[in-house]
Amino acid sequence: ALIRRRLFKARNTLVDFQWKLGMAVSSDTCRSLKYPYVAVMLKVADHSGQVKTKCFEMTIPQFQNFYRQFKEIAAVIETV
Amino acid sequence: MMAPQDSSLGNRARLCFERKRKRMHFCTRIGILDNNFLGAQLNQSIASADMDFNQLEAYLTAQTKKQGGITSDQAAVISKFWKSHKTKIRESLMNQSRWNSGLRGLSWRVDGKSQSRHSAQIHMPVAVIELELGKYGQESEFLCLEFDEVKVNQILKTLSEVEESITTLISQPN
Repeated sequence: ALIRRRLFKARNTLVDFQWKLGMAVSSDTCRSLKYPYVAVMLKVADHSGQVKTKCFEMTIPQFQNFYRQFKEIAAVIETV
Repeated sequence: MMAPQDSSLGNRARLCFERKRKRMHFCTRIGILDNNFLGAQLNQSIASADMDFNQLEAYLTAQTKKQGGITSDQAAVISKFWKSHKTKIRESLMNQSRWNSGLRGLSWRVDGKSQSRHSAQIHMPVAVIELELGKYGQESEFLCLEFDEVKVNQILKTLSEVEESITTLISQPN
């Protein structure tokens, strides 16, 4: 029920999808981080046409799950 | 475990430990670091260097041979702690160093639009995707996006380019 309520909220359309692959090397709390990450910048437009930017990061396993889910969506949308 | 040599050292150790506590809070859960300044230092070094198990054993062995270092029993406890908690500790350190939002979750649904008041479009499937985003220690923000089939395939193509880059990066020698 909660998911249903959230999915009925204002929907945005994707205007642009930019990405970069980075490597976190070191930080003040951990000298040896050494992990790759995918940084994404989305430009989304709401129903009024106003464009907002949303940025987020994914670890490699998170990205692989993200990619897998999009493949599932593509497979389903093709059959509808 | 280890008692401080005198009360003033104990007080300084407690203050130092409290400052490090925010980064090392996970260590207090097993109760080995109360009033243990050297213990906090050791664990910080191990976490910061992301030691593998061979490096850990060598490091702890060296600590047992130092004057004012740890005993072999203490080394065994620290080693056991790291072997069971390394992954969680590393994840925690990675999350703390990420200052952008992270992707916490993804839900989706595909709707089939069959009719529209303003157009004659029939059978226009739409994917509705909800991204759960959030910065470390903050509440989640939900972003709801709508994609048609063309857009889904465009994103898929972009994601395959990302995957190709990841493969290239991983296959490169360090």
